Amino acid sequence: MGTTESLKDIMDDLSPEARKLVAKVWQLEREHLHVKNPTLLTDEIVRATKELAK
Amino acid sequence: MKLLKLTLDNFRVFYGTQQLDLEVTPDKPAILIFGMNGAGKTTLLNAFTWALYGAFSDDVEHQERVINDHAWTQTPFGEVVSASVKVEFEHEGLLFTVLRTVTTTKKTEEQVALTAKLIVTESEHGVSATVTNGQDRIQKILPEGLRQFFFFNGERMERMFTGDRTDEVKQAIKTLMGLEEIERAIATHLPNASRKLSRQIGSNGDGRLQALTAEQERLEQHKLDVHKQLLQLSETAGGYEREVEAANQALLANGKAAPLQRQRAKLKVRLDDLVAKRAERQEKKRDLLARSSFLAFTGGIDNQVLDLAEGMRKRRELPAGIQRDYIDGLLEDGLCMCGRDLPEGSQARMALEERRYNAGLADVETRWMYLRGKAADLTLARADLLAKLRECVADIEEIESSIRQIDAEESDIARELEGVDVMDVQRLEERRKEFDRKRLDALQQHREAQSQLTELDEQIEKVRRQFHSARVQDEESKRIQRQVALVDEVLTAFQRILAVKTEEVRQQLDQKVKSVFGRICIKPFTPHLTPAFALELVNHSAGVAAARSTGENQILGLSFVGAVSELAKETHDRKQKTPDAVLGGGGVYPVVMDAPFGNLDVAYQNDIAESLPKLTSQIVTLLSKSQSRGMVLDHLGGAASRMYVLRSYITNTDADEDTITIHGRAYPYVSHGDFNHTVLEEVTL
Repeated sequence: MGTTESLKDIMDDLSPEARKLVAKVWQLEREHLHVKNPTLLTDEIVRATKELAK
Repeated sequence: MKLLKLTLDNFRVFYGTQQLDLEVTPDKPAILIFGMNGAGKTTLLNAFTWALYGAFSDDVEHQERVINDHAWTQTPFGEVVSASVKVEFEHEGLLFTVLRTVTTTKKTEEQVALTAKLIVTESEHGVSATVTNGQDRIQKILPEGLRQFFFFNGERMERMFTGDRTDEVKQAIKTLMGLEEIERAIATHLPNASRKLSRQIGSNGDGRLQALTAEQERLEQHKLDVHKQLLQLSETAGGYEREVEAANQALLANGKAAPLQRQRAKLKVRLDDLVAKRAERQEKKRDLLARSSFLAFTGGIDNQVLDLAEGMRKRRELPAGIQRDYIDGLLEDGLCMCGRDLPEGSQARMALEERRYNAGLADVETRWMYLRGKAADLTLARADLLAKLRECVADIEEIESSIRQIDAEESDIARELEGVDVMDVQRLEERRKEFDRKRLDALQQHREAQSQLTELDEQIEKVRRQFHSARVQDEESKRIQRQVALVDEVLTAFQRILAVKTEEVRQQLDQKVKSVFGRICIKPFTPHLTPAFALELVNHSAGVAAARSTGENQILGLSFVGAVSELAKETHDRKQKTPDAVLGGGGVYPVVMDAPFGNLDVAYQNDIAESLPKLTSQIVTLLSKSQSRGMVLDHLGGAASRMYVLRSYITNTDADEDTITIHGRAYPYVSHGDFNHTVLEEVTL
């Protein structure tokens, strides 16, 4: 995996749904970072995924 | 995060309520706190971490004694006693109050460890509310892993880059720069989401997908087991490596000690020889003095005797001896030796009488010559004695000088050998080999487990591809297949993002460390942050790794903290300017540091004092009197919004009271009191 690519390159490669899901997962991870084992986080990712890929 | 106020109540060395106002202006970011050893500088540093995380640093002794000793002693049995620390700060427009308290009913003479109670209050626009899970809120604002960058002791800074701490530091950087959240998504939550979605293909769903999901789960369970084994092997290999390192150090110490010990043995032989020679010379001197010291007292007397005798000889006053007696007999008998009569007044008698006058004189002359000769010998003997004594004394002085030289050399060696555990080299070598063999075995197993993991990853990837490409008929299964594909696409994207961002953070941090270090260190050294986030120091004039002294490690640590702080602030500022959904990390944090100069010499102290205020927007510095002289106080004082003195009250009246001079004015530093405690006093600026 090359490190010369930029964040933008990676985001541009993604489908529109994946781009949205990246942002959502990142936001969820940041919100739950202080909790060692956030029980509901996986469910929230699943829910967001289902919203984006119906 | 901006610190506003610290309030201590009966906390350790601080009796009663003490308050520290921490607000600073942008042009004067420093708060200086001066205190003697034991006054409570480290306690003050720990007051922040205790309030925020309920933890003390490892160097704090008797951590169970949170309540001030005097307050504890004063409290009668059965009465309630407490201690607390309150930290007030501002973070992203909100005001927070963190209050940690220990309260107990006194039942024993000694304090026991108590569970502290935490209350966190959040205020916005004058409305306050208690935060339900206070510790989580604090962790969110400033994760505990980051405390080593923002609340630290300068003297212990070099430990940040030694031993097991490197991983801790690496993890803390990841947390600070927003990489930890990406790692968590990759390692746990996205794979979990993918699995959960896959499992939702019901029993009526596509059989092929069900089989692939089951196969993936089996492989992932296997992967988990191997991963667990891998961690255990890492730990084991790490333990063996530490043992090997300890043996290496001991061998090195012994290796260094061996030539020194040989040198010491040689010195001992030379010393014994010199001591024997000195004794011999002293004996010779004693012998000379015993046999001939009288000569020293005859100086001048022999000449006097010679002068006296010479005068007598010239005056013919010297006795002539037996020949004169013979002539006297002839004159008494009136008969000369030639048979002639010697009547009174006769020519012959007069001639004999004249002869009598000179009689024996030749004998006297002979004896006189003999005496002169002997007197001259005496002078020579005295001169010889003096020369021999001088020679002896010079020899003794030279020998004593050599003895003193050897003593000095031996003393240097003794100092170098101090603290060296002189062990049997062979035993050490065996121990090193044994642990190295074990370490290599563990590493081999580790490599095998790692390749097993790679294989498992490949197998899982293959199953995932099969899952994505499987042709399925029912709509529900198709939908789940799409959802799993979306999660997997995001997972791959996060893996690429992590690689990009990790390298970005490493490069930025590397540049920052180089810049901060270059401002402080005068030597031709350049720090380098490796891809594994280990901090190295390169001697750029020689192009090799620099041999780091404690001082350089401290500067390196300080530069690193400064760089992390600057980078976090820059990232935060960038985030504020360009709200970007995928930009994480950063923040503005205060730095609270005890003994910022550690054991550095004055030149470095001045450079650091100049650099410190530029590190971050708020810096609380705890200093002793000896660390705040000359330029240091000029640099720091000029950047200070507030200054405090930790005034120590001591019961020992034999110890002198003391003051500290700040900006030309003396402030009480040590005072006599009824009990030992410390009081915070603000300096008027």
